[in-house]
Amino acid sequence: MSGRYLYCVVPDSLPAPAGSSGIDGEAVLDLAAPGVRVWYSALRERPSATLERVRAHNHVVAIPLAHAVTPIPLRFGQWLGTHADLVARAREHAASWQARLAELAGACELGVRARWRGPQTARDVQQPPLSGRAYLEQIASQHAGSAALRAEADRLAAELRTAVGGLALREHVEQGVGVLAVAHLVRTEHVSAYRAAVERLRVRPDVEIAVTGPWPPYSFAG
Amino acid sequence: MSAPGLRRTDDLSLAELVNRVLDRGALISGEVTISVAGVDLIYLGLQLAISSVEGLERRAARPDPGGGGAAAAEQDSE
Repeated sequence: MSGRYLYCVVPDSLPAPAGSSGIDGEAVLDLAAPGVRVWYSALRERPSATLERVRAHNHVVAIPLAHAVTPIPLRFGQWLGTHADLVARAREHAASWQARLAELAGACELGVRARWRGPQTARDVQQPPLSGRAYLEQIASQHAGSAALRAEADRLAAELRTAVGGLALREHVEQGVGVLAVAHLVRTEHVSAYRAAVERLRVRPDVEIAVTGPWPPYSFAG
Repeated sequence: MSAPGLRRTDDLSLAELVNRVLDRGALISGEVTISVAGVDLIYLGLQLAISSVEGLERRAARPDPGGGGAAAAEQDSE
């Protein structure tokens, strides 16, 4: 018996490419429902999150973009116990998925992540080796209460919004201590213009910024 | 000409990948990952990225008799 691990939803015109593999090297299959297809793999058990599996999941979700099709990415770990469950769930959601696919058609996601280099960074910490969590807690405590840092992040988000203007169809912003992550939904033909707009931003030398993508539109799939 | 501080870095890209795949995307089965080992996901990708970078730097500093490659880098990151 195997369950169904789900990757993404695409228009019914795009079957899963023959020979494609996903989590743990398992074949990527597809189930047709009215107007859509769900890409999935048959796995013995719900997979735990490892870096390799995260990469495998995204590899599959990104395949449609290479065919000029924007998928609805599903979050890692979407699992249904039986094929019958998958059939039922696909029929239940098909209409809403069709509508979401129409909203996302022709677009992709670009990300801008900013990281502020504080007095202590990964290379500056003089402590003995810490666990990952303890290390991050140390960094977070050093920035705790830094209203100025948060204000800078807010300001950078606003400057970014102004810089990209109408190129961003939708926006998703997340902020942590010393970290700003902005996602924009952008038409695929505007990717180069978007990058150029971000590169023109004036940023402080203690702020590290990266533009990433194009991604499948994870941030706008829900 | 790029603005100061603007560059594509592999570690930030890794953080972006992990953050997206684990914390965003549509839900069907309802089970989500909120954090891993108590680390909020917006930081988790960054922690993995830092580990990746530090692991690669450690390997670069010592002779590699067998050739670790990407698999070893991923093992360091998990």
